[in-house]
Amino acid sequence: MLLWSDTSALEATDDNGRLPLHLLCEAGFFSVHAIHILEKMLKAAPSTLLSRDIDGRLPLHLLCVSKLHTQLTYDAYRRLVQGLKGDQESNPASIQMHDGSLPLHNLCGAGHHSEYSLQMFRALVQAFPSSISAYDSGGQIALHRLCGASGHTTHTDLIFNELLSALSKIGKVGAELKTLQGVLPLHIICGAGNHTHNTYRIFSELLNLYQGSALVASTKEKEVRAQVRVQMPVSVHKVAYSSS
Amino acid sequence: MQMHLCMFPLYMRPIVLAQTQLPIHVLCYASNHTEFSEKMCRDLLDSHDDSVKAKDARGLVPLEVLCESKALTSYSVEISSIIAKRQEGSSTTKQWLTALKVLCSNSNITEFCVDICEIIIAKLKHSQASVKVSQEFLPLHDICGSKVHNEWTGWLKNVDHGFTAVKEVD
Repeated sequence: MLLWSDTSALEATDDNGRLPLHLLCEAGFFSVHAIHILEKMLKAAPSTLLSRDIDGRLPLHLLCVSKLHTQLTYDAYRRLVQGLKGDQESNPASIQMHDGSLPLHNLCGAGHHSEYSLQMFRALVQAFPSSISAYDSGGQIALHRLCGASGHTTHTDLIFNELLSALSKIGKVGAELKTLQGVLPLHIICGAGNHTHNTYRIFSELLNLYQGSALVASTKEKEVRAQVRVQMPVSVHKVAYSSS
Repeated sequence: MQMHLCMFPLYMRPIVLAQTQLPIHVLCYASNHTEFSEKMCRDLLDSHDDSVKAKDARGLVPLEVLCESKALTSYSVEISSIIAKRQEGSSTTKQWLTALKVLCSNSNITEFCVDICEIIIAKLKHSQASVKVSQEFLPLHDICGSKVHNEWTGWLKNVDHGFTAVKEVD
């Protein structure tokens, strides 16, 4: 009772700039009780909905990245975005974290997608249609995050098809689907690891899409190497050589 | 501080790799290969036969990239077998030895490394009857120099026993 009457507790941040609402959303595995608490929190301190932690994350960013989206996760999502569509400043679907990620990036990169992930995906795209082609600071759009996610499911495949279709409508096809560093989704899905049946389905579609063209090294190789500046293990350098 | 790919979130790793490598290189480096990884490998090689010989910016061919992967599975062994078979005609002894050396330098030696080692050694034996031993290629040094020894490093040592090309020549 004290909590709901004194909103200062709801607006108090931890060392990472997180409010109780952030922590609730990050925890995932929503129960009916958690939804009840969420409702009360939003009613008592509605401004917390747009509060950012030190990484610039809204509660919505954390909800999208949580594992195993259920019906209750979707319920939580609806409560978070309720009444905040409209102008861009108060539309949480359009707010980027410090690394440039939109909630849609987080949702696509979360992996282990369920039917509720698909519903959240559709709702996020509807709330902010431009998010499908928005780049994060790593030069990736949501499609790249989806390909790199772990545990591709049937619903990942469905999200992939909807994303691809939406991107083609705005002219993003073929080579246009590269990251800003010139990486194709085909590369990303190959490197995702733990490949599933659905990974293979997405891979096959991408392979058909890029038949031939993706199989040559990027011309931007030098530029990207300069940007990324990642050194390979010394032992590998030792054995790397050119042999005819 | 030296940076390793494992230090980056999974979704960022391909950015680093893909720019300098073909999809087959990226696939080989991926962790925890499954039966679908094997299918993906076959499809990639069917689409582009030459990719087994393609070198990345570090001069490594796909088999060598596979040998440095940190989480090998039984399907990684299958993938290495597929690649080695396609590479058979075009690879030199030096290239097989390089793959073996990369494998022995792997910091996570498991039973699957032993299986891959056997595949490579079989190809090596097949490729050249008599091999001139070079100081450059001393896989046993890499095994013995490994910081993490386990039962499989011992097996790996046994595998190359009797194969003159990889014996110590110090």
